[in-house]
Amino acid sequence: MSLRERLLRHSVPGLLRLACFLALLALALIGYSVLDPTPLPVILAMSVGHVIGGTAFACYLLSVVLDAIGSPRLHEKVPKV
Amino acid sequence: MTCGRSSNAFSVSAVEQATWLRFAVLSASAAAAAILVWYLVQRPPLDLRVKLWLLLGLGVFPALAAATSTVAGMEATTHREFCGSCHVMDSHFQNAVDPAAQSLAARHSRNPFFGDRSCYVCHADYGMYGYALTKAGGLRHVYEYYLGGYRQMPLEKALKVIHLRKPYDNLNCRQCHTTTVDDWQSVPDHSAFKAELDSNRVSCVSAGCHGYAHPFTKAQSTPETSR
Repeated sequence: MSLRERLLRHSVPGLLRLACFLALLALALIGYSVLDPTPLPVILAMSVGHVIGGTAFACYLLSVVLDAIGSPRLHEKVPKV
Repeated sequence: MTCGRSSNAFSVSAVEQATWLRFAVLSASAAAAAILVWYLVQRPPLDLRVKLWLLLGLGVFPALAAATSTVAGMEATTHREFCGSCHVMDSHFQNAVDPAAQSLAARHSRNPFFGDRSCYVCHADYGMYGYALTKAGGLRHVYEYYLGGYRQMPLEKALKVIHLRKPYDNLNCRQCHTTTVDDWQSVPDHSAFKAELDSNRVSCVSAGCHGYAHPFTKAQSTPETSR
């Protein structure tokens, strides 16, 4: 297995886990802002929350692209049962 | 009095709208969180089905939550409680909600056309309310409060040193109190100061006219800072 394939194999699940954690953080900020609509939570949700959420979605898209790039070669290596 | 910006019916509908927005935000957030936690716990192989579930959990539901929370957040900034949540506004807030207070702000706050959005209705031209640019300008309030020293400032000092950033726009009064009717034009001071009122060189809420709007003297204070 080449270094590139090894990176692809490990980076896709890692990126997805990172995306999930980032999205949960963003959702927590957004949810808190509607439960406690005071200036700081509202501003944080509409700025930091959106940036973190956007980053999470970008990680997801990147992982899908990496998976699409890496999948054919990786599948070739998998022995047929 | 006519008022195009707010009404009792509008306030009721705004409350219902805010409730539905909160419900939508929390529902979308809960749905997304459920999918994400499921993925993190189960760690299923990344096939097409899982990718589509993750698209919902990382894309569709969070986008829905973000969009509705933005609308809900903007809505929340129009409520008097939001303005009163910073301690430097305590005196203004307490006066506005006092049923016995006779200040201009208090009397307007008791008017159902203003309701619990009285700060927004009167100050929408400069605060963190209304349109996007106005809200962007209102970020200065957040900056000044958390990073500019207002948060540590005693209320007594805040009342003296925090001032409006620019003169209060008479146009805000005139959205309800039209200047084209005979009743307004028949007042000698109105006719005499028409040009000054139009150009905001004289405020409707000046002492001796209809103000001050809030019962805190501004004449003795020092304009060290502005908000």
